[in-house]
Amino acid sequence: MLRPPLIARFSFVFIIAFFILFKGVFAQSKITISGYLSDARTGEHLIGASVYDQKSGKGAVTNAYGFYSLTIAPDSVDLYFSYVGYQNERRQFLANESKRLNLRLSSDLLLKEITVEAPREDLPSQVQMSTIELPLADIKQVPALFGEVDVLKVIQLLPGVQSGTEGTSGLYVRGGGPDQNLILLDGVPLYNASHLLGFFSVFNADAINKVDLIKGGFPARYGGRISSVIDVKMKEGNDQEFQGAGAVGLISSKFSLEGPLKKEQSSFIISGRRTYLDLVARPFMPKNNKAGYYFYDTNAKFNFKLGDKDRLYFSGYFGRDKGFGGTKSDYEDFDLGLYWGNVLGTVRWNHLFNDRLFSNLSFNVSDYQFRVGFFLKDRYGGEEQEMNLVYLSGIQDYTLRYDFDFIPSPQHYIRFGMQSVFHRFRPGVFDLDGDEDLAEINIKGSDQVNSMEYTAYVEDEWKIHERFSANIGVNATFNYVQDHWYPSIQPRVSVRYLVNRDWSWKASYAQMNQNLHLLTSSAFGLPTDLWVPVTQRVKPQEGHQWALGTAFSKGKLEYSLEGYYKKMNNVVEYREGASFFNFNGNWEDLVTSGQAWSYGLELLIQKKVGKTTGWLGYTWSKSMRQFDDINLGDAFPYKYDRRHDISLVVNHELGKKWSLSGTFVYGTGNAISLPVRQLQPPADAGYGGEINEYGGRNSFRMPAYHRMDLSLTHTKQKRWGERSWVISVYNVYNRKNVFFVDPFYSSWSGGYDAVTLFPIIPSISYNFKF
Amino acid sequence: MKKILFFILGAVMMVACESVIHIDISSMEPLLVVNGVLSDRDPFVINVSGSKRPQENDYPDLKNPQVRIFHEGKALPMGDRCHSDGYYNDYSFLGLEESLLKEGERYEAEVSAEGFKPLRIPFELPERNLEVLRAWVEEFPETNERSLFVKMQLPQTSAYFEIILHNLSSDEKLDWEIPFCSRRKYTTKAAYWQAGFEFGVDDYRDHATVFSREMWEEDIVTLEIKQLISGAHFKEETHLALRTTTEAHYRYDLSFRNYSFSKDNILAEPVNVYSNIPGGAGILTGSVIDIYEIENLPEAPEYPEEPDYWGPDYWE
Repeated sequence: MLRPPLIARFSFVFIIAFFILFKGVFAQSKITISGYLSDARTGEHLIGASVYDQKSGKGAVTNAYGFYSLTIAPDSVDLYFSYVGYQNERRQFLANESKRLNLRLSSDLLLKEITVEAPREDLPSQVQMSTIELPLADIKQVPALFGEVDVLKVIQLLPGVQSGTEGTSGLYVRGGGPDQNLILLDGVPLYNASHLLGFFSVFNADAINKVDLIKGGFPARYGGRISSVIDVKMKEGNDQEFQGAGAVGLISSKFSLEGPLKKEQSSFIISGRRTYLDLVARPFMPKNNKAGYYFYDTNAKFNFKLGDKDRLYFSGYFGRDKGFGGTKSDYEDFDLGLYWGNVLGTVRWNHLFNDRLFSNLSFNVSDYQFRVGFFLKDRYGGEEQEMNLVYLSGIQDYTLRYDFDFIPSPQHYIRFGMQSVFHRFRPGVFDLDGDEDLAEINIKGSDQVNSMEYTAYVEDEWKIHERFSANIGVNATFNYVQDHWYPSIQPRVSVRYLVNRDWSWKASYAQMNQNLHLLTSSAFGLPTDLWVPVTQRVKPQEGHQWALGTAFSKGKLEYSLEGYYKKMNNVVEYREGASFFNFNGNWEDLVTSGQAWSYGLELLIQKKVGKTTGWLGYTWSKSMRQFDDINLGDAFPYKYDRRHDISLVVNHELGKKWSLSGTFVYGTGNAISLPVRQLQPPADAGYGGEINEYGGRNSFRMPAYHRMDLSLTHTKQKRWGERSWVISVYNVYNRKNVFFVDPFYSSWSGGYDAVTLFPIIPSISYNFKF
Repeated sequence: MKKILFFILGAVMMVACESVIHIDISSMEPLLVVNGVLSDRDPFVINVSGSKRPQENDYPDLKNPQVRIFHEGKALPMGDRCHSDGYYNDYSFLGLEESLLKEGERYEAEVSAEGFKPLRIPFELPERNLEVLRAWVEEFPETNERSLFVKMQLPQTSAYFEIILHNLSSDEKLDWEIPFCSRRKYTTKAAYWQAGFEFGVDDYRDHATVFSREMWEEDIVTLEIKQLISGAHFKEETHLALRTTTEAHYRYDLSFRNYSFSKDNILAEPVNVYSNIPGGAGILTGSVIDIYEIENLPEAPEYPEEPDYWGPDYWE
C-alpha cells in the first residue's frame, strides 16, 4: 500500500499546527488590509504589484493570484498601489478594523516610473536571487524565427541559460540538462515544451500573462527539478469585455478570444494555433505519395468568482505534433507516422480563510506521449503481408496540491503546502506485429513503472531588518517506487542585504531533488528522449547550488552580477555505445549514473523603461560531467559547456506606429565528440575495422555560434481595433551555425560534414486584436 | 492561387536549404599504438603501429620501430620483428622464450619509432588468486544444447580473468603459429590461440570476455557457457585455460566490445576505447595462465577438414 512514511504524515500535522499557532499569535491587536489588485481594463490579476503604507512604512506584494495582505497597527493609512506600467493608486483612510480593498489599476504608458518611495520589485529589492521576470510585452517584441513569438527562445537570451543546438528551444540552465527544468504552465509540469523538433515552444504568447525564470535560490514551494523553474502563468480572460487577437504568419496562424461569461464574475480565454506546411505542400505532392508535418495547440481557461472568498479556475492545454509520410504502389503500401504531444488539465480552487490566509487547492493531470510507427503492406508475388511497428513512450502525472499563503505581519510571508503526485512512466515500448513469421514477433521494451511522490514544504519570506531579508524554507519529498522509499529533506535559504535603496547583496543555497530522469542522446535532442523514473537501481538526482551576487540600479538601468557553483549527483547518461534504439533491453541497462558540476559568473544589465528597452547578458561558465563508465572515468565537458555566452536584446520605439527590435547572440561552440585519430585494433581482436579515437568525450568544439535577428513592427489603430505588420529577419548576416556534425568522416569532402539549417530567413506576419 | 502557394512554399523551403561546412581536425598529431596482452606461458606478441588521421587512407609506415622490455633495469631478450604492410601496416615484436615473464613482477616496455616520441610503458603480471574447482560439460539433447560449466573460487580482493578453451594439451610441446605476420612455427607448452569464440562467450572474438570479480557477490561461482550441440567444436584434447589478467585489460576489453558493437550506429553514444599507454594508444598488460582439464568431455562430432591457411606470408 502506498502510505506515506511517518515523517510525511508528521509534516502535514506540523503544517496545520503551525497555521493554527500563528493564527492565534497574530490575530490580536492588528488590523489587516487585504484584497486583489487587477487590471482595470481586463480584470487580469496583477502579479507582484506593490502595496505600501507611507505612514507605517510597511508594504506587501501581490501573489500569483493578485492577492495581497498588509497587517499593521490600527491607525490612519496612506496606501499606494503600484505596478510597472500602471497608474499608481492612492487610498487614505482611518483603518480601525480589517478591511478588504480590491482595486483595479489602469495601465498608462505615460507613467511608467514609480514616483513613490515605496518598496520596489526591481532587482536590488527582490529577496529572491537568480530570478528574472519576463514581461510579456518584451517577449512579444523580440524578433523570432518565422515571426513566431517564442517564450523559451526569449528565455535562452538570458544569462545563465544556454540554448541547445541551432534553432531549438532546449534550455540548459547553469550547466543543467533539459530535464532539470521545471516548466510549469499554470502550475502543471510540462514534459516536452517544444514543437517541430524543438524549433518552437508550446507556449502561445497570446494566452500567457507572465513568465518567471528561477535559476537558483529556489523557494521551498518549488521542487522536483534541480536546475531551474520556468513558471508560466496563463491569462485569466477579460472579465469586462470581449477581446480577440490573432496572427497570420508564413507557417502558422493563431487566434485567441477572451471575454466575460458574466461581467466581473467569470471570464474565459481560448486560444489556438496551427501550422500549415502540410496543407501548403499537399498540392505539390505526387499522387501516390504523401508527406507532411504540422502541429497545433489550444489553451483554454475559465474562471469563476464564487463570492468574495472563493474563486474557481479550470484550465487546459492540448497540443500535438504530427509528421507523416507514405507511398502507395501496386506492390506495396507504406505509411510512416510520428507524433507527440502534451495534454494538461487543472482545476483550481482559491479560498480565503481570512485576511491573512490564502489557499489554493488544485488537481492537475499531465499526459505526455510520443509515438512513432510504420505500417507496411506488400503484395509481391501475389501474396499480401502486413507488418506494423510502433514505438511509444510517455509519462502521466496526477497531482493533488494544496498551497497556503499566510501573511501574519509585514515581516513574514509564510507559504506552506503539500502535494502528492502519481507518476506513470512508459519508458519506451516497441510493439511489432506481422503476418506469418512476423506474427510471432511482439517485442516489448521496458515495463510500465508507477511511482508516488509526496511533498510538504514551508518557507518564510522574513524581513529580519529594514535592510536584511531572507527566505528560509525546507521542502521534504518522499518518493515511492518499486517498493522502495526515497526520502529527501531539501533546505533552501536566500538572503538579501540592502546596502542602500539602489544596491543590494544577495546569497543563496538550495538543495533540489529530482525523482525522474530524461535519457537523451548526446548527438540529438529528439522527442524520442525518454522520461524514466528513479528505480531501485537508478537513484534520484540531487542538486546543490550556492550563489552570491549583487544588484544595483542607476538611472534607468538595473545591474546584476551573480556567481554560482552547482553540484549535481546521480545524473544519468546513456552508457558508451548505447542508444535509445534498444529493442529488447531494459533501459536501466543502458544508462549510468555520475556527477556533474558547474560554476560561472552572470552579468545582466536591463533597461525596462523608456523608448529603448532591453538587456545585455553575459555568462562565463564551466560545466563538467564525470561518470565511472564514460570517458574512462575521466571528467569531461558537458555538451553545452559554453565558456562565453553573450546576448543583447534591444527594443526601440521609433514613433507611435513604428518599433524596431534586434537581438545578437554569441556563444562558444558546443562540445562534441569526433574521431580525431584512427587506430588499428589488436591482431587477435577479430575486428576488421579501425578504432576511432576521440581524444576524450566532448573534446572537440564546434565553431562559435553567433547570430543577429531584426524585426520591424508597424502598428496602426483601426476602427475595429489594432493591427500590426511584423517584418522580421532571422540570421541577418547569414551566419552558418552548425546544427549537427556527422560523426563519420567524409573522405569525399575531406573533412567532417557539419549541417547548418537556417540561413537568412525573412518573414512577415500580420497581427490583429480587437 | 497556385502561384501564391508556390511562393509561400518556396519561402518556407528555404528552411530546408541546409548547407554543409567542414570542420578542420588537421592539428591532431599521430600516436604510437601498442597492443599486447602478455603472459607467463606463451611466446608473446607486441604489435606496434602508428595512428592515422581520419582523412588519411593508410596507416603510416613506421621507420625503425623498436620494442624493448626491461625487468629490474635489464633488457629481456626479444625475438624477431616482422612487418605486415597490408592495410594495417604494423610491426609485430615477438617474445619467443617461454616463461620470459613472471607472475607478480613489474616490467617496463620501451617503444620507439622515428618521428614519434618514445614511450615508456610500465606493466605487471598479476598474481594468481583465482582457482577453477571443476570444469565439466553437460549435454541437453532436448534443446540441442551443450554447456560447459566452470566452477570457480573467487578471491576476496578484486580480480579479472578470461576463460579460454583450447584444443591443445598443456603437457605437450606444440607448434604455434603467428597469424598475419609469419607462418613460422614456434614451440610452446600452452597455446590458447583461437579458442573462446567458438563457444560464443558473449561475443565473437578470438579471445573470450574478460570478467571482473565485482560481477559476483559470492566467493564460489559456476559459469555456464552454452552452445548448440550441432555446432559443437569440442575435441578430445580440449582443456580450459584460466587467464588471470589486469584491470587495464578488463577496461580495454569492455570498452572495445562496446565500440565494436556500436560503431555503425549513428545514434549510439561515442565509445572511448581504453588505453594504458602513456602518450600513446592501445593496451599493454600482463597475465598469468593456468590450464585445467575438462571432465565429461563428449565425443566430438565429425567435421570436414579445414582448408589450409592461405593468409599473407610476409617476411621481413
